[in-house]
Order: sequence, then C-alpha cells, then structure tokens
Amino acid sequence: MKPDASAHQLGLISCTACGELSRARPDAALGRCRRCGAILHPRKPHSIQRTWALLIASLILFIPANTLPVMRTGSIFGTVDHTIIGGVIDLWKSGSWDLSIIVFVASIAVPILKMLALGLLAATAQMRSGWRRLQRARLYRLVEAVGHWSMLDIFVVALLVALVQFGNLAQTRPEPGIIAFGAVVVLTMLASAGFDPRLIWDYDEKNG
Amino acid sequence: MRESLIVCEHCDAVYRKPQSLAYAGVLIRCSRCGASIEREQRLRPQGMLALALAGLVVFAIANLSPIVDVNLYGSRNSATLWGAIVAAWDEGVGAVAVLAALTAFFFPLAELLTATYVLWPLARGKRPRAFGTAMRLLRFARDWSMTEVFMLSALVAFVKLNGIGGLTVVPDVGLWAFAGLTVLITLVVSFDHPRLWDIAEECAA
Repeated sequence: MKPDASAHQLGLISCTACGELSRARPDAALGRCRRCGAILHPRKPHSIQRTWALLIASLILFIPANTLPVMRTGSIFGTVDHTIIGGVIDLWKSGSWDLSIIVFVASIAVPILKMLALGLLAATAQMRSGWRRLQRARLYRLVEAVGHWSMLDIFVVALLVALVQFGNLAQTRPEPGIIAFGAVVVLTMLASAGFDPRLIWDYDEKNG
Repeated sequence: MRESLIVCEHCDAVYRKPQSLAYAGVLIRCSRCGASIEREQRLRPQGMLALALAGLVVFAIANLSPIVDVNLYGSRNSATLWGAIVAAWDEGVGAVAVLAALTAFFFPLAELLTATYVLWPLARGKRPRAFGTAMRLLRFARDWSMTEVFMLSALVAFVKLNGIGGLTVVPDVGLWAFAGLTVLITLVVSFDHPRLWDIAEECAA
C-alpha cells in the first residue's frame, strides 16, 4: 500500500486515544472525538517547546543524579557512599558482569542516549528537516520502548533499603542522588511523550 | 469514512483499508514510517478477560508475599514491594517512594482492574459503561506501569545482596509471582486499542 497523503492534509484528524477519524473543524477550534470524547488535536500541542523544556530540565538534573551518592551503606567497618556508576563497577568487580552490563545500559546508557536522541528529534523537527525520516521515526519508537527501564535503580535502592536493616552490623540508607535520578527518568519519559513523531513527516510533501 | 480509511498513529499517513484485510488477523505496517498500524489479535475478549483475572490473582500473591529473605548471623529480614516503598518513605526519600508506589503498584493494579472492567461486559457482548474514560485510563496506566522493570531490579538487588559478606539471601514466593505477573500484564495490555473500540461498537449496534 502507498499512503495517499497525511490526514492533516486531507482535513482529517485521527484521535490519539481511539484512532477514530474526524473532520477538522474549519474554524480552527478544537473539537472532541465523537467516539471517545477525547479532545482532538491535529498535532500534540506545543510539542517541540515542551520536549525542549523537559529535556533541558532533565539534562540539568542528570548532573546531581550521577555525582551525588544514591545510597549509603554502613557496617562495623565504616560507611560507604554509592553512586550510580559505582554500583555498576561494584557488580562488575563481584563477578556479575552480565547484571553489571544490564544496569549500565538501563541507568547510564539509556538516559544519555535518550536525551541525545530527543535533542536530535526536536532539533530536526524544528528545522523542518527532511534528513533520514525513516531512521528518525524508528529512533523515536526505540526511545519510547526503552525509556522506562531506567527506573531499575530506583527499585533496587528501595529494596536494599528495606532489606539491609541489621542495626550496627549492616545498614542501608537512601541518599539525595536517587531523587535527582528519579526526576531524570520521569522528565525524559514526559519529554518523549510530549514529542509528536508526526512532525517528522509534516514537511515531506514537496520532495515526496 | 472510518470503514474505508486507516491512519498511521505515528506519521499521520492515510491509507485505504482493503476490505479483505480488515479482520484477516495480519500485521499491517505503515509503508512510510514502518510502525505497525493494526496488530494481529490472537485472543478474543473472553481469552483476554481470563488473562486479566489471572493477573489480578497473581498480583495479590506477588504483593502479599516477601520477594527475598535475608539472614545475617541469625537475624532475619524480608521485604515485600510495599515494604520497600514504606522503607523509602521512612528514610526520607518520599518522592522516590511515591514514584515506586505509582509505577510498580498502582498503575499495574489500575491496568488489571480497568482491563477486567472493560473486558467483562465485552466478553458477554455488552458495551461497558464509561468505556471511553476506561480506555483512556488503561492507556495511561499502560504507559506508566513498570512491573517488568521491578522484576529485573529484584534480581539485581538479589545479586547485590549476595555480594555482602555474611549475608544469606533466599528468593521467596514474591519473586516468582512477579515473574508470572510480568508475563500476564504484558499479554493483557498487548491488545490493540482501536480494535477494542471496534468490538465495543459492534456490541452497541
């Protein structure tokens, strides 16, 4: 099948909640989907601005998330502060190289690559670029699919804090870095949810 | 209009829907951006309802049972998901506790309850009340529910605990239940939302 045109060009709006097609109203007012009642937007509102704002916020918080400790363990031998990257190194040294790679990907590689990818997508959409549309569309779907895996370390810290409570023998406490880290995960998820992948194709018309 | 046209959610391309393909159970991909437009529906509402109900049972087991037991020189400790959330709250990182509670407890529960609410009448050929609201809730809960991530972090926590000298770590019922819950939730929410809308509309007619 070859696409005829974009729905927007044909004066149609497809409901993002249920997929129902409606005719766009000529007076530029927002209508509601007659099937499910969701507000109809031809494109997600303020998509590029919203993506940039959330992306910049997550970029700033990424610094404390990685420099501040996320957890402190204490025992009769003294206390140790743990950072995100420190946790990866500890797992590697203890011989669990497989889990070490998983945590590295989820906690460090995914957030960094996600922020780079969203920056690229927002910038190219803003410039109305026709560069590698198919690859950009795939990149966006990849970002959406892997984004939530960064929550891994949040749950790990919560579990360790609940379990390692043996008074003076062994103690675990969460540290402020984990809050910044959680904020980065949520903000990047919101940034990617706010981006409208249809913008990638909107200026496709002239060059087919 | 709706019978003959089909729009790609990811790039807004419009296609004429070939009638022969409408319910043939094939994967239709957008030829422009490569996203799947309609997914194959392996199960009917009855089958999906069974999975959602099983999911609720396993959800209860997973949340009531400890995930891991630890033992340090005779003193024991164990944690459930909720125990971990409360511990994070008590230790002063309330934001983290709320985030964990929403993504690992409330959204997965909302997913299963809403799926059951929607599928129960649909399985009996009736259109559920407030179907639109329920479907929007389901979609939102699906985006923010992270049972599978929690499952993996329980494994990471398990290995990290094993590395602490003198500590004996034993996986408990909750860990296996979460593994099962991950599979069930993935199956329950894999259904195609526009397709459920079509089914609901047939019921109303």
